[in-house]
Amino acid sequence: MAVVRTIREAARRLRSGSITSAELAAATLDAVDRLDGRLNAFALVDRQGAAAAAEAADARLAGGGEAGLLTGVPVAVKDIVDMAGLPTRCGSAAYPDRPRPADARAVSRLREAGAVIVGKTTTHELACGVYSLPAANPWDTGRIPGGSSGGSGAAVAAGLVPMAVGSDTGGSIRIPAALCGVAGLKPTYGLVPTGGVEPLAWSLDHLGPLAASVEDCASSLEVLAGGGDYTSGLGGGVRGMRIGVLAGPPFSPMAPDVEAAFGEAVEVLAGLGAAPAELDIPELEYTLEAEFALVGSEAAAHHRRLLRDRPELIDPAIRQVFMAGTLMPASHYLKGCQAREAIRGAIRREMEGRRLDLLVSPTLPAAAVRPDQQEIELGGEMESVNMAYVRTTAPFNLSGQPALSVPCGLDREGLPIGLQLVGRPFDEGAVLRAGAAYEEASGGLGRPPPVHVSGLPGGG
Amino acid sequence: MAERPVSVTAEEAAGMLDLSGLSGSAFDPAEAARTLESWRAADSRLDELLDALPEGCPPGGPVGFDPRWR
Repeated sequence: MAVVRTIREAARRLRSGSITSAELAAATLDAVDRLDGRLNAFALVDRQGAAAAAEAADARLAGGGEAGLLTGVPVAVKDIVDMAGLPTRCGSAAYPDRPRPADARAVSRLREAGAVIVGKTTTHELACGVYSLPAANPWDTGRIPGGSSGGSGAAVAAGLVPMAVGSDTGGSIRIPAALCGVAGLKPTYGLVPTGGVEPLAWSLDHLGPLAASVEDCASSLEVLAGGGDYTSGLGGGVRGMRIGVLAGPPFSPMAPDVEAAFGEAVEVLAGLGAAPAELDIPELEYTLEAEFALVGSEAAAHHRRLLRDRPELIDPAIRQVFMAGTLMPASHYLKGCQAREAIRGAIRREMEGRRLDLLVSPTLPAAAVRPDQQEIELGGEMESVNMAYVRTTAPFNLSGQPALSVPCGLDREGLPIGLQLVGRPFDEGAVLRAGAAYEEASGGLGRPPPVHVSGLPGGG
Repeated sequence: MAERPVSVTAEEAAGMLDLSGLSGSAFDPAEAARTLESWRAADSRLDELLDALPEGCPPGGPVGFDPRWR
Protein backbone atom coordinates (compact mmCIF):
# COMPACT_ATOMS: atom_id res chain seq x y z
CA MET A 1 0.00 0.00 0.00
CA ALA A 2 1.48 3.32 -1.10
CA VAL A 3 0.76 5.63 1.79
CA VAL A 4 2.44 8.95 2.47
CA ARG A 5 2.59 10.61 5.88
CA THR A 6 3.11 14.21 4.78
CA ILE A 7 2.84 16.51 1.80
CA ARG A 8 6.63 16.83 1.85
CA GLU A 9 7.05 13.03 1.59
CA ALA A 10 4.46 12.80 -1.18
CA ALA A 11 6.14 15.59 -3.15
CA ARG A 12 9.56 13.93 -2.79
CA ARG A 13 8.29 10.53 -3.94
CA LEU A 14 6.33 12.00 -6.83
CA ARG A 15 9.43 13.82 -8.05
CA SER A 16 11.78 10.87 -7.57
CA GLY A 17 9.46 8.73 -9.67
CA SER A 18 9.01 6.14 -6.91
CA ILE A 19 5.28 6.67 -7.21
CA THR A 20 2.89 8.39 -9.57
CA SER A 21 -0.02 10.57 -8.58
CA ALA A 22 -2.38 8.05 -10.15
CA GLU A 23 -0.95 5.30 -7.95
CA LEU A 24 -1.13 7.53 -4.90
CA ALA A 25 -4.75 8.44 -5.60
CA ALA A 26 -5.66 4.78 -6.15
CA ALA A 27 -3.94 3.80 -2.89
CA THR A 28 -5.73 6.59 -1.04
CA LEU A 29 -9.13 5.54 -2.38
CA ASP A 30 -8.37 1.93 -1.49
CA ALA A 31 -7.43 2.98 2.07
CA VAL A 32 -10.64 5.01 2.34
CA ASP A 33 -12.59 1.92 1.24
CA ARG A 34 -10.90 -0.18 3.89
CA LEU A 35 -10.89 2.22 6.84
CA ASP A 36 -13.71 4.66 6.43
CA GLY A 37 -16.37 2.15 7.43
CA ARG A 38 -14.96 2.60 10.95
CA LEU A 39 -14.32 6.34 10.77
CA ASN A 40 -17.02 7.88 8.56
CA ALA A 41 -14.54 10.68 7.88
CA PHE A 42 -15.82 11.09 4.33
CA ALA A 43 -19.29 12.32 3.41
CA LEU A 44 -18.52 11.82 -0.28
CA VAL A 45 -15.69 10.24 -2.27
CA ASP A 46 -14.96 11.63 -5.75
CA ARG A 47 -13.27 8.70 -7.52
CA GLN A 48 -13.70 10.07 -11.01
CA GLY A 49 -12.53 13.57 -10.12
CA ALA A 50 -9.55 12.23 -8.19
CA ALA A 51 -8.47 9.97 -11.07
CA ALA A 52 -8.69 12.82 -13.58
CA ALA A 53 -6.79 15.24 -11.32
CA ALA A 54 -4.10 12.63 -10.65
CA GLU A 55 -3.64 12.00 -14.37
CA ALA A 56 -3.29 15.73 -14.99
CA ALA A 57 -0.82 16.03 -12.11
CA ASP A 58 1.31 13.19 -13.52
CA ALA A 59 1.42 14.97 -16.87
CA ARG A 60 2.40 18.21 -15.16
CA LEU A 61 5.16 16.54 -13.15
CA ALA A 62 6.46 14.67 -16.20
CA GLY A 63 6.39 17.83 -18.30
CA GLY A 64 8.91 19.52 -16.04
CA GLY A 65 6.82 22.65 -15.85
CA GLU A 66 5.88 24.56 -12.74
CA ALA A 67 4.67 22.20 -10.04
CA GLY A 68 4.21 23.16 -6.42
CA LEU A 69 4.43 20.93 -3.37
CA LEU A 70 0.75 20.02 -3.56
CA THR A 71 0.90 18.86 -7.19
CA GLY A 72 -0.32 15.27 -7.33
CA VAL A 73 -0.99 15.07 -3.57
CA PRO A 74 -4.33 13.67 -2.34
CA VAL A 75 -6.29 16.07 -0.13
CA ALA A 76 -9.90 16.49 1.03
CA VAL A 77 -12.26 19.37 1.80
CA LYS A 78 -15.00 19.76 4.39
CA ASP A 79 -18.51 19.22 3.07
CA ILE A 80 -19.51 22.85 3.45
CA VAL A 81 -17.06 23.85 0.70
CA ASP A 82 -18.40 23.81 -2.85
CA MET A 83 -16.90 21.60 -5.55
CA ALA A 84 -18.36 22.04 -9.01
CA GLY A 85 -20.57 19.13 -10.03
CA LEU A 86 -20.89 17.71 -6.51
CA PRO A 87 -23.48 18.43 -3.80
CA THR A 88 -22.62 20.34 -0.63
CA ARG A 89 -24.69 18.66 2.06
CA CYS A 90 -23.38 20.42 5.19
CA GLY A 91 -24.16 17.34 7.28
CA SER A 92 -27.82 18.33 7.06
CA ALA A 93 -30.96 16.57 5.91
CA ALA A 94 -32.14 19.95 4.66
CA TYR A 95 -29.51 20.23 1.94
CA PRO A 96 -30.34 18.70 -1.42
CA ASP A 97 -28.18 16.42 -3.50
CA ARG A 98 -28.20 19.01 -6.28
CA PRO A 99 -24.67 19.55 -7.65
CA ARG A 100 -23.13 22.96 -6.98
CA PRO A 101 -22.38 24.98 -10.11
CA ALA A 102 -18.87 26.17 -9.28
CA ASP A 103 -15.82 25.55 -7.12
CA ALA A 104 -15.26 27.55 -3.97
CA ARG A 105 -12.30 29.90 -4.36
CA ALA A 106 -10.20 27.73 -2.04
CA VAL A 107 -11.00 24.66 -4.15
CA SER A 108 -10.00 26.52 -7.33
CA ARG A 109 -6.68 27.32 -5.72
CA LEU A 110 -6.11 23.71 -4.71
CA ARG A 111 -6.92 22.57 -8.24
CA GLU A 112 -4.66 25.22 -9.80
CA ALA A 113 -1.87 23.97 -7.52
CA GLY A 114 -2.42 20.44 -8.87
CA ALA A 115 -3.84 18.93 -5.67
CA VAL A 116 -5.95 15.79 -6.06
CA ILE A 117 -9.18 16.26 -4.12
CA VAL A 118 -10.37 12.76 -3.23
CA GLY A 119 -13.59 13.75 -1.47
CA LYS A 120 -15.54 15.80 1.00
CA THR A 121 -15.27 15.25 4.74
CA THR A 122 -17.95 14.88 7.37
CA THR A 123 -19.05 18.02 9.18
CA HIS A 124 -21.18 18.58 12.24
CA GLU A 125 -24.63 19.62 11.00
CA LEU A 126 -24.46 23.11 9.45
CA ALA A 127 -20.92 23.47 10.91
CA CYS A 128 -22.60 24.28 14.22
CA GLY A 129 -21.33 21.82 16.83
CA VAL A 130 -18.34 19.81 18.05
CA TYR A 131 -19.42 16.16 17.61
CA SER A 132 -19.42 15.61 13.79
CA LEU A 133 -21.30 12.33 14.05
CA PRO A 134 -21.21 9.76 12.56
CA ALA A 135 -17.46 10.48 12.19
CA ALA A 136 -15.26 8.77 14.78
CA ASN A 137 -11.86 9.44 16.30
CA PRO A 138 -9.00 7.23 14.97
CA TRP A 139 -7.47 7.14 18.49
CA ASP A 140 -10.62 5.51 19.86
CA THR A 141 -13.58 4.96 17.60
CA GLY A 142 -15.82 5.20 20.66
CA ARG A 143 -14.88 8.89 20.93
CA ILE A 144 -15.83 11.91 18.87
CA PRO A 145 -13.32 13.47 16.46
CA GLY A 146 -14.40 16.97 17.50
CA GLY A 147 -15.96 19.49 15.22
CA SER A 148 -17.28 20.87 13.30
CA SER A 149 -14.48 19.81 10.89
CA GLY A 150 -14.43 16.34 12.48
CA GLY A 151 -14.14 14.36 9.26
CA SER A 152 -11.12 16.42 8.20
CA GLY A 153 -9.43 15.73 11.55
CA ALA A 154 -10.18 12.01 11.41
CA ALA A 155 -9.08 11.65 7.76
CA VAL A 156 -5.71 13.30 8.43
CA ALA A 157 -5.14 11.50 11.75
CA ALA A 158 -5.80 8.12 10.11
CA GLY A 159 -3.28 8.92 7.37
CA LEU A 160 -5.90 8.84 4.61
CA VAL A 161 -4.80 12.27 3.35
CA PRO A 162 -1.95 14.51 4.56
CA MET A 163 -4.20 17.60 4.48
CA ALA A 164 -7.89 18.36 4.62
CA VAL A 165 -9.51 21.78 4.54
CA GLY A 166 -11.69 22.77 7.50
CA SER A 167 -13.59 25.81 8.64
CA ASP A 168 -13.48 27.54 12.02
CA THR A 169 -16.15 29.86 13.48
CA GLY A 170 -15.57 29.15 17.17
CA GLY A 171 -12.78 26.56 17.02
CA SER A 172 -13.92 24.10 14.35
CA ILE A 173 -10.43 23.56 12.87
CA ARG A 174 -8.52 23.57 16.15
CA ILE A 175 -10.97 21.40 18.11
CA PRO A 176 -10.75 18.36 15.79
CA ALA A 177 -7.03 18.98 15.29
CA ALA A 178 -6.49 18.76 19.06
CA LEU A 179 -8.81 15.79 19.62
CA CYS A 180 -7.42 13.81 16.65
CA GLY A 181 -3.74 14.62 17.27
CA VAL A 182 -2.97 16.58 14.09
CA ALA A 183 -1.93 20.15 13.29
CA GLY A 184 -4.67 22.65 12.46
CA LEU A 185 -4.35 26.30 11.51
CA LYS A 186 -7.03 28.95 11.65
CA PRO A 187 -5.40 31.76 9.67
CA THR A 188 -6.07 35.46 10.23
CA TYR A 189 -9.66 36.43 9.41
CA GLY A 190 -9.98 37.00 5.66
CA LEU A 191 -6.59 35.56 4.68
CA VAL A 192 -8.22 32.54 3.03
CA PRO A 193 -11.31 33.45 0.99
CA THR A 194 -14.63 32.00 2.09
CA GLY A 195 -16.39 32.42 -1.26
CA GLY A 196 -18.28 29.24 -2.12
CA VAL A 197 -18.31 28.08 1.50
CA GLU A 198 -21.61 27.68 3.35
CA PRO A 199 -21.50 30.29 6.14
CA LEU A 200 -22.28 29.73 9.79
CA ALA A 201 -21.51 33.28 10.98
CA TRP A 202 -19.83 35.30 8.26
CA SER A 203 -18.00 37.72 10.54
CA LEU A 204 -16.35 34.83 12.40
CA ASP A 205 -15.93 32.18 9.69
CA HIS A 206 -12.38 31.21 8.73
CA LEU A 207 -11.06 28.56 6.34
CA GLY A 208 -7.78 26.70 6.86
CA PRO A 209 -5.87 23.41 6.79
CA LEU A 210 -5.78 20.42 9.13
CA ALA A 211 -2.59 18.55 8.32
CA ALA A 212 -0.16 15.86 9.35
CA SER A 213 2.50 18.41 10.31
CA VAL A 214 3.00 22.11 10.89
CA GLU A 215 5.03 22.25 7.68
CA ASP A 216 2.06 20.78 5.80
CA CYS A 217 -0.17 23.48 7.28
CA ALA A 218 2.31 26.08 6.05
CA SER A 219 2.60 24.73 2.51
CA SER A 220 -1.18 24.34 2.30
CA LEU A 221 -1.67 27.91 3.48
CA GLU A 222 0.53 29.17 0.67
CA VAL A 223 -1.96 27.66 -1.78
CA LEU A 224 -5.17 28.47 0.09
CA ALA A 225 -4.16 32.09 0.69
CA GLY A 226 -3.20 32.50 -2.96
CA GLY A 227 0.43 33.31 -2.22
CA GLY A 228 2.80 34.32 0.53
CA ASP A 229 5.84 32.53 1.89
CA TYR A 230 4.97 30.57 5.01
CA THR A 231 7.52 27.77 4.65
CA SER A 232 11.00 29.25 4.24
CA GLY A 233 11.11 30.63 7.80
CA LEU A 234 9.91 27.47 9.49
CA GLY A 235 13.33 26.50 10.79
CA GLY A 236 13.88 29.83 12.53
CA GLY A 237 13.07 28.57 16.02
CA VAL A 238 11.66 30.50 18.99
CA ARG A 239 14.80 31.92 20.59
CA GLY A 240 14.00 35.34 21.98
CA MET A 241 10.26 35.08 21.35
CA ARG A 242 8.14 36.61 24.11
CA ILE A 243 5.19 34.38 24.88
CA GLY A 244 2.11 35.13 26.98
CA VAL A 245 0.93 32.00 28.78
CA LEU A 246 -2.84 32.41 29.07
CA ALA A 247 -4.26 31.75 32.52
CA GLY A 248 -7.54 32.41 34.31
CA PRO A 249 -11.01 32.09 32.74
CA PRO A 250 -11.75 30.95 30.05
CA PHE A 251 -8.47 29.00 30.18
CA SER A 252 -9.37 27.40 33.50
CA PRO A 253 -10.44 24.96 34.69
CA MET A 254 -8.59 22.28 32.73
CA ALA A 255 -8.43 18.49 33.06
CA PRO A 256 -5.34 17.56 35.13
CA ASP A 257 -3.68 15.68 32.25
CA VAL A 258 -4.19 18.69 29.96
CA GLU A 259 -2.72 21.01 32.58
CA ALA A 260 0.34 18.74 32.98
CA ALA A 261 0.90 18.37 29.22
CA PHE A 262 0.54 22.11 28.72
CA GLY A 263 3.02 22.85 31.52
CA GLU A 264 5.54 20.54 29.87
CA ALA A 265 4.95 22.19 26.49
CA VAL A 266 5.67 25.62 27.94
CA GLU A 267 8.89 24.20 29.44
CA VAL A 268 9.86 22.85 26.01
CA LEU A 269 9.33 26.29 24.46
CA ALA A 270 11.36 27.89 27.26
CA GLY A 271 14.08 25.29 26.72
CA LEU A 272 14.22 26.34 23.08
CA GLY A 273 14.94 29.92 24.10
CA ALA A 274 11.49 31.50 24.29
CA ALA A 275 10.54 33.75 27.20
CA PRO A 276 7.15 32.71 28.62
CA ALA A 277 5.25 34.80 31.17
CA GLU A 278 1.80 34.20 32.65
CA LEU A 279 -0.99 36.42 31.35
CA ASP A 280 -4.61 36.88 32.45
CA ILE A 281 -6.91 38.96 30.22
CA PRO A 282 -10.13 39.48 32.21
CA GLU A 283 -12.22 40.53 29.21
CA LEU A 284 -11.85 37.04 27.73
CA GLU A 285 -14.20 35.77 30.41
CA TYR A 286 -17.03 37.12 28.25
CA THR A 287 -15.98 35.14 25.18
CA LEU A 288 -18.94 32.76 24.99
CA GLU A 289 -21.55 35.48 25.40
CA ALA A 290 -19.96 37.57 22.63
CA GLU A 291 -19.42 34.57 20.35
CA PHE A 292 -23.00 33.32 20.58
CA ALA A 293 -24.54 36.78 20.23
CA LEU A 294 -22.82 36.94 16.83
CA VAL A 295 -23.27 33.30 15.79
CA GLY A 296 -26.95 33.21 16.80
CA SER A 297 -27.89 36.35 14.90
CA GLU A 298 -25.80 35.77 11.77
CA ALA A 299 -26.72 32.08 11.49
CA ALA A 300 -30.39 32.92 12.01
CA ALA A 301 -30.20 35.50 9.24
CA HIS A 302 -28.41 33.13 6.86
CA HIS A 303 -30.69 30.14 7.57
CA ARG A 304 -33.91 32.19 7.80
CA ARG A 305 -35.76 30.27 5.06
CA LEU A 306 -34.76 26.89 6.42
CA LEU A 307 -35.78 27.94 9.94
CA ARG A 308 -39.12 29.28 8.75
CA ASP A 309 -40.06 26.62 6.16
CA ARG A 310 -38.46 23.35 7.30
CA PRO A 311 -37.42 23.76 10.96
CA GLU A 312 -38.06 20.07 11.68
CA LEU A 313 -35.02 19.22 9.52
CA ILE A 314 -32.64 21.09 11.87
CA ASP A 315 -31.23 19.38 14.96
CA PRO A 316 -33.21 20.73 17.96
CA ALA A 317 -30.13 22.13 19.74
CA ILE A 318 -29.03 24.02 16.62
CA ARG A 319 -32.59 25.13 15.95
CA GLN A 320 -32.68 26.72 19.42
CA VAL A 321 -29.58 28.77 18.64
CA PHE A 322 -31.09 29.97 15.34
CA MET A 323 -34.45 30.66 16.98
CA ALA A 324 -32.86 32.69 19.75
CA GLY A 325 -30.87 34.57 17.12
CA THR A 326 -34.14 35.43 15.40
CA LEU A 327 -36.03 36.50 18.51
CA MET A 328 -33.34 38.36 20.46
CA PRO A 329 -33.38 42.11 19.82
CA ALA A 330 -30.89 43.74 17.43
CA SER A 331 -29.26 45.36 20.46
CA HIS A 332 -28.04 41.90 21.53
CA TYR A 333 -26.18 41.43 18.25
CA LEU A 334 -24.73 44.93 18.46
CA LYS A 335 -23.57 44.35 22.01
CA GLY A 336 -21.88 41.22 20.69
CA CYS A 337 -20.09 43.41 18.11
CA GLN A 338 -19.03 45.81 20.84
CA ALA A 339 -17.88 42.98 23.08
CA ARG A 340 -15.83 41.59 20.19
CA GLU A 341 -14.15 44.96 19.83
CA ALA A 342 -13.52 45.11 23.60
CA ILE A 343 -12.01 41.61 23.58
CA ARG A 344 -9.92 42.34 20.49
CA GLY A 345 -8.74 45.59 22.09
CA ALA A 346 -7.83 43.86 25.35
CA ILE A 347 -5.73 41.24 23.57
CA ARG A 348 -4.00 43.94 21.54
CA ARG A 349 -3.36 46.03 24.66
CA GLU A 350 -1.67 43.08 26.39
CA MET A 351 0.32 41.91 23.36
CA GLU A 352 1.57 45.39 22.49
CA GLY A 353 2.07 46.49 26.10
CA ARG A 354 4.13 43.43 26.97
CA ARG A 355 5.68 43.21 23.49
CA LEU A 356 4.46 39.63 23.07
CA ASP A 357 5.07 37.67 19.88
CA LEU A 358 2.69 34.85 20.76
CA LEU A 359 0.05 33.68 23.18
CA VAL A 360 -0.18 30.01 24.19
CA SER A 361 -2.84 27.92 25.91
CA PRO A 362 -4.08 24.37 25.87
CA THR A 363 -6.22 24.15 22.72
CA LEU A 364 -9.00 22.51 24.74
CA PRO A 365 -9.63 21.85 28.44
CA ALA A 366 -10.12 18.10 27.89
CA ALA A 367 -9.54 15.25 25.43
CA ALA A 368 -12.22 13.60 23.27
CA VAL A 369 -15.52 12.63 24.90
CA ARG A 370 -17.93 9.84 23.94
CA PRO A 371 -20.66 10.57 21.38
CA ASP A 372 -23.44 10.41 23.99
CA GLN A 373 -21.62 12.59 26.53
CA GLN A 374 -23.18 16.05 26.83
CA GLU A 375 -21.35 17.25 29.95
CA ILE A 376 -17.84 16.97 31.34
CA GLU A 377 -16.52 17.48 34.85
CA LEU A 378 -13.81 20.12 35.04
CA GLY A 379 -12.58 21.73 38.24
CA GLY A 380 -15.26 19.90 40.23
CA GLU A 381 -18.12 21.38 38.15
CA MET A 382 -20.16 19.90 35.32
CA GLU A 383 -19.82 21.84 32.08
CA SER A 384 -21.49 21.47 28.68
CA VAL A 385 -19.10 19.77 26.25
CA ASN A 386 -20.04 22.28 23.53
CA MET A 387 -19.11 25.23 25.74
CA ALA A 388 -16.00 23.58 27.21
CA TYR A 389 -14.52 22.91 23.78
CA VAL A 390 -15.28 26.39 22.45
CA ARG A 391 -14.31 28.62 25.36
CA THR A 392 -10.55 28.36 24.74
CA THR A 393 -10.67 28.66 20.96
CA ALA A 394 -13.40 31.25 20.30
CA PRO A 395 -11.48 34.23 21.71
CA PHE A 396 -9.39 34.16 18.55
CA ASN A 397 -12.36 33.96 16.22
CA LEU A 398 -13.52 37.16 17.87
CA SER A 399 -10.08 38.76 17.57
CA GLY A 400 -9.44 37.29 14.10
CA GLN A 401 -5.85 36.37 15.04
CA PRO A 402 -4.04 33.37 13.53
CA ALA A 403 -4.19 30.34 15.85
CA LEU A 404 -2.54 26.94 15.45
CA SER A 405 -3.14 23.70 17.33
CA VAL A 406 -0.30 21.18 17.52
CA PRO A 407 -0.31 17.85 19.36
CA CYS A 408 1.33 18.05 22.80
CA GLY A 409 0.87 14.61 24.29
CA LEU A 410 -1.58 11.88 25.17
CA ASP A 411 -3.72 11.73 28.30
CA ARG A 412 -3.90 8.70 30.61
CA GLU A 413 -6.46 7.10 28.27
CA GLY A 414 -4.19 7.50 25.26
CA LEU A 415 -6.16 10.40 23.75
CA PRO A 416 -4.44 13.41 22.14
CA ILE A 417 -4.06 16.83 23.78
CA GLY A 418 -3.44 20.04 21.81
CA LEU A 419 -1.29 23.12 22.33
CA GLN A 420 -2.69 26.38 20.92
CA LEU A 421 -0.31 29.06 19.61
CA VAL A 422 -1.76 32.46 18.72
CA GLY A 423 -0.02 35.27 16.84
CA ARG A 424 -0.56 38.87 15.87
CA PRO A 425 -2.89 39.46 12.90
CA PHE A 426 -1.27 38.25 9.65
CA ASP A 427 1.76 36.95 11.57
CA GLU A 428 1.16 33.34 10.57
CA GLY A 429 4.92 33.12 10.11
CA ALA A 430 5.61 33.39 13.85
CA VAL A 431 2.84 30.97 14.76
CA LEU A 432 4.02 28.34 12.27
CA ARG A 433 7.69 28.83 13.19
CA ALA A 434 6.97 28.27 16.87
CA GLY A 435 4.68 25.34 16.08
CA ALA A 436 7.36 23.70 13.93
CA ALA A 437 10.02 24.23 16.61
CA TYR A 438 7.78 22.71 19.29
CA GLU A 439 6.76 19.82 17.04
CA GLU A 440 10.39 18.96 16.32
CA ALA A 441 11.53 19.29 19.93
CA SER A 442 8.62 17.30 21.37
CA GLY A 443 8.79 14.56 18.75
CA GLY A 444 5.03 14.60 18.17
CA LEU A 445 2.82 11.89 19.64
CA GLY A 446 5.37 9.14 18.98
CA ARG A 447 2.99 6.67 17.36
CA PRO A 448 0.05 6.65 14.94
CA PRO A 449 -3.49 6.08 16.21
CA PRO A 450 -4.90 2.54 16.32
CA VAL A 451 -6.95 3.20 13.16
CA HIS A 452 -4.34 4.25 10.62
CA VAL A 453 -3.32 3.35 7.08
CA SER A 454 0.03 2.08 8.38
CA GLY A 455 -1.89 -0.76 10.02
CA LEU A 456 -3.26 -1.98 6.71
CA PRO A 457 -1.46 -4.87 4.95
CA GLY A 458 1.64 -3.41 3.28
CA GLY A 459 0.91 -0.02 4.80
CA GLY A 460 4.05 0.32 6.91
CA MET B 1 -24.48 47.79 36.84
CA ALA B 2 -26.09 45.09 34.70
CA GLU B 3 -29.80 44.54 35.14
CA ARG B 4 -31.22 41.11 35.94
CA PRO B 5 -32.66 39.37 32.90
CA VAL B 6 -36.35 39.98 32.38
CA SER B 7 -38.48 36.89 32.70
CA VAL B 8 -40.11 35.59 29.51
CA THR B 9 -43.44 33.75 29.69
CA ALA B 10 -44.53 31.03 27.29
CA GLU B 11 -47.32 33.31 26.13
CA GLU B 12 -44.86 36.08 25.30
CA ALA B 13 -42.56 33.61 23.55
CA ALA B 14 -45.51 32.34 21.49
CA GLY B 15 -46.24 35.93 20.41
CA MET B 16 -42.62 36.51 19.45
CA LEU B 17 -42.49 33.27 17.46
CA ASP B 18 -45.66 34.25 15.67
CA LEU B 19 -44.36 37.71 14.83
CA SER B 20 -41.17 36.20 13.42
CA GLY B 21 -43.03 33.73 11.23
CA LEU B 22 -41.78 30.72 13.19
CA SER B 23 -44.62 28.29 13.62
CA GLY B 24 -45.40 24.60 13.90
CA SER B 25 -44.52 21.76 16.21
CA ALA B 26 -40.77 22.49 15.92
CA PHE B 27 -41.30 25.55 18.14
CA ASP B 28 -42.64 24.91 21.62
CA PRO B 29 -43.41 28.27 23.29
CA ALA B 30 -42.46 26.98 26.75
CA GLU B 31 -39.10 25.76 25.46
CA ALA B 32 -38.64 29.00 23.52
CA ALA B 33 -39.28 30.96 26.74
CA ARG B 34 -36.60 28.97 28.57
CA THR B 35 -34.14 29.48 25.71
CA LEU B 36 -34.79 33.21 25.61
CA GLU B 37 -34.38 33.42 29.37
CA SER B 38 -30.87 31.97 29.12
CA TRP B 39 -30.00 34.22 26.17
CA ARG B 40 -31.19 37.25 28.12
CA ALA B 41 -28.87 36.20 30.92
CA ALA B 42 -26.06 36.24 28.36
CA ASP B 43 -27.23 39.69 27.23
CA SER B 44 -26.89 40.93 30.82
CA ARG B 45 -23.38 39.51 30.94
CA LEU B 46 -22.53 41.56 27.85
CA ASP B 47 -23.92 44.64 29.62
CA GLU B 48 -21.61 43.82 32.52
CA LEU B 49 -18.56 43.79 30.23
CA LEU B 50 -19.53 46.92 28.31
CA ASP B 51 -20.55 48.89 31.45
CA ALA B 52 -17.16 48.21 32.99
CA LEU B 53 -15.11 49.60 30.11
CA PRO B 54 -13.30 52.69 31.42
CA GLU B 55 -13.32 54.46 28.06
CA GLY B 56 -16.90 53.55 27.20
CA CYS B 57 -18.19 51.11 24.62
CA PRO B 58 -16.15 50.71 21.44
CA PRO B 59 -18.09 51.22 18.21
CA GLY B 60 -17.81 47.53 17.38
CA GLY B 61 -18.85 47.80 13.79
CA PRO B 62 -18.96 44.96 11.34
CA VAL B 63 -15.80 43.59 9.81
CA GLY B 64 -14.22 45.90 7.29
CA PHE B 65 -14.36 43.80 4.14
CA ASP B 66 -16.02 40.79 2.63
CA PRO B 67 -13.74 37.75 2.93
CA ARG B 68 -15.52 36.05 0.04
CA TRP B 69 -14.10 38.67 -2.27
CA ARG B 70 -10.40 38.23 -1.57
